[in-house]
Amino acid sequence: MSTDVTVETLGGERMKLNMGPHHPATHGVLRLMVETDGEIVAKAVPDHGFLHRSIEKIGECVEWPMFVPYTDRIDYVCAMNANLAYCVAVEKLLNTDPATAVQVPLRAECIRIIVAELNRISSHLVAVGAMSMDLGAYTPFLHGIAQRETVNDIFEKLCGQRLTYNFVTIGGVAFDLHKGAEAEITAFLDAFEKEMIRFNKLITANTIFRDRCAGVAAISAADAVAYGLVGPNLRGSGVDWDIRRDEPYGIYDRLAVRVPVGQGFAGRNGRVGDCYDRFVVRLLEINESVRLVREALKMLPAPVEKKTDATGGYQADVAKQLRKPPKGEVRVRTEAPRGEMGYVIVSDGSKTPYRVRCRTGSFTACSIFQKLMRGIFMADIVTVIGSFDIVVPEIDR
Amino acid sequence: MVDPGIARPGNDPDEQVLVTTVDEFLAWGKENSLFYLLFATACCGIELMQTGGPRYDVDRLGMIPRATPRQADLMIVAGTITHKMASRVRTLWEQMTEPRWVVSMGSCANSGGPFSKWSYSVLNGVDKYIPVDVYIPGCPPRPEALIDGVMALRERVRKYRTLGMRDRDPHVVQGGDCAFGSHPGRDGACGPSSAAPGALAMSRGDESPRTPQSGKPAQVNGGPA
Amino acid sequence: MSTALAFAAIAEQVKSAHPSVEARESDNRQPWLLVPAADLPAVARLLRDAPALRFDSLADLTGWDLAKFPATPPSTDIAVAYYLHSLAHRHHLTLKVMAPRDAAQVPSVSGVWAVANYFEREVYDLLGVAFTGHPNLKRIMCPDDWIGHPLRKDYVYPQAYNGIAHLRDGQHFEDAPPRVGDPPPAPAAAAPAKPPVKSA
Ligand code: SF4
Repeated sequence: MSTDVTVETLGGERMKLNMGPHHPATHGVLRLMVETDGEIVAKAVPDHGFLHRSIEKIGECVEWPMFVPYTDRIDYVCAMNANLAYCVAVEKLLNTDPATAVQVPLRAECIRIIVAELNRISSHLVAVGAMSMDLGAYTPFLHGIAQRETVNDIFEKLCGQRLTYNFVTIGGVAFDLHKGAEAEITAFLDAFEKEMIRFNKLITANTIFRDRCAGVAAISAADAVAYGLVGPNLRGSGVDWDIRRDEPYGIYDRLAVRVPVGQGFAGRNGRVGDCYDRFVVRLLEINESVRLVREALKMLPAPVEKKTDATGGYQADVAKQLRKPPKGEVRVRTEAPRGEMGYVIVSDGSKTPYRVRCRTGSFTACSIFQKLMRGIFMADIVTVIGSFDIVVPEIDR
Repeated sequence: MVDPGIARPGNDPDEQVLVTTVDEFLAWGKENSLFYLLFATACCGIELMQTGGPRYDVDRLGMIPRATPRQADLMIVAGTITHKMASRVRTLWEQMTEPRWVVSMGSCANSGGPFSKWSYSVLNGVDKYIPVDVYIPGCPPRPEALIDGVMALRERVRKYRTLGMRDRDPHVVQGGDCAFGSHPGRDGACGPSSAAPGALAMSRGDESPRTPQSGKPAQVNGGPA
Repeated sequence: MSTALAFAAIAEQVKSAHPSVEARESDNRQPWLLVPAADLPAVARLLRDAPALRFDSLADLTGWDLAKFPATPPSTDIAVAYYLHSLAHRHHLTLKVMAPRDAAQVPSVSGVWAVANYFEREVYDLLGVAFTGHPNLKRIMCPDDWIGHPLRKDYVYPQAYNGIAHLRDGQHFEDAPPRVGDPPPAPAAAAPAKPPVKSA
């Protein structure tokens, strides 16, 4: 396999190749400065910042609730999870002082789980679809997009947006579930499970696809931890760690999340932590998310008239607390589809944050690129990038 | 020659020959094969992707994504353009073959959108670097809005004249709702003039005398390639 | 996990090896360790390698400018915060290093946790903290020729980059952050309402 050829054994001339910032396989505007030795990559240095939109600085300029729409733009493929991470962080900040504590209604917590897991499904669909597209299989991508459209329809009915939802708010969610939402979601899940069988037949079990990913860019568990990989990328290397289960936020502690880890799924040529493992872990997580949505639907309390009701309401009253939140700092970690989305929030007690820091999975995933892309084939670069499921605004923010 | 022996509807030579002008014909062809550059930077790119997906399926409009600017007629600027990215956008646009069109998709590309006020690194509108034909508002615009924008662009493409206006600027839409009277890339009027950096000399109408294109268009970036 | 240690126990272990380390609390009682910059590499190694601690992952590294933070006495430091996490024992720790604003220098820990390489470049770029011993301390977000460090509280937005003005022609925002070359604010002539934007 590719890793048997080391750069040192070849002494040819190096060619410099610029990949990106406009390149269809870099999923946005990532730039890789690649030095090749024949077909082998001698060096690949990522260059970031083409989408640095200064979101963290904006966090210091706008008021607490006004930052929620910007979290959408940090990770638009799973905007619900991005909203949730920030809102959970602000709630934790408010809860550090009993005077400003907020109690998120149970119904809102359930709705949050439902939308977050649905969004995880649609995000992973883009991830696996785009990865197979990068490897030349265009059809699975279309299947993934078709399913994503259905999720978008549900979200659109829920909050009026298809991509940047601004739905999860501090202290709850912006709207209650619309009428018939439960039935719609259940119907989607039923159809979706059947569709996934087709999808897996189409691409996951495809020999060409599997062999192209097998054994490529395997990451050991120790490396994965040291380079700060998170989420499916970390679990692909066999590390059993999921924040939803191990440090639950919201009501994830009542849901018993099952965590798939990479085991060298590709078989003979595969290794734990290779591209195929990361791909399969995402597919397994989709199944788990389907189950979690069903669980959360079961737990959903009946709606009541009063929206701040502790059980059947959907939005706690936080306007007063947000005018004068406690002074201090908190750090919260949540599990987004691309791994840990952690917020460090520093408050000086005023109605605007003092510092908002968002730690995202794609940013740290890029830190391993330079090490990983040494000695692989040129054509495998897109495999590696695809398998990490990077979203560029998450890197650059 | 059509075999006179086979008499079927539509086989009559009178029905087989259409008379049109070369320009009409070329414009018709251009209009129906707007290959677009797969150029997505941010959130709007996902909507662009979904527009190309099975539900909205822009392939039926003859729009096929191309990965390289050299094969593209249309650049859909989908997403935020930062200062760091801007010179690359210009490079891509310069690599596209004439005639080329630009659709600015989403508030970010139009004007900086949600980042226009508080961001230090976002360019407030891609039209500061390249000329834009159609602006689509929205954050992100729905796929329907994108398709609507493309239909508006097709109106413009239909009026494009290749031969009839050889000595004049073909992008001037006679009597059309054209935002840019001149095609700025051709005479170097686009991009910041050295006198007033950032100010775009985009005149409405065609009052200025055309000078032949002198070498390269105005150098804008000056930054690293 | 039964092997997880509470903050007090971790702090005890660190302090016994490095007496200069202090245990502190933020205003809302989140505990952290204040590490003098000079001791950071040794403390980091200890935290990673001591069998009872085993902080194998650096979950986050960030910083913030304390210049406008309401504190008595006002601080002139940049806080660099390290959020450690142990996957082996499942416990957490927050370290902080205070770097003076005008000569912010902190030893790099990229030799201890590989991911620190990226995090430190980001903090360098946005806050201007120089990490000594970093293998590749370059800007990561902003272009190389960008002026200033945006997340500092006294950062002034640029008027233009690469000859392209930031704002559109004639565009003007009320109470927007200051830009280079802005006319100085009128000296309280009409006593303008205090803008909601904090950065002055
Ligand atoms: S217009 Fe909105 S959705 Fe589009 S790129 Fe900008 S922020 Fe994202």
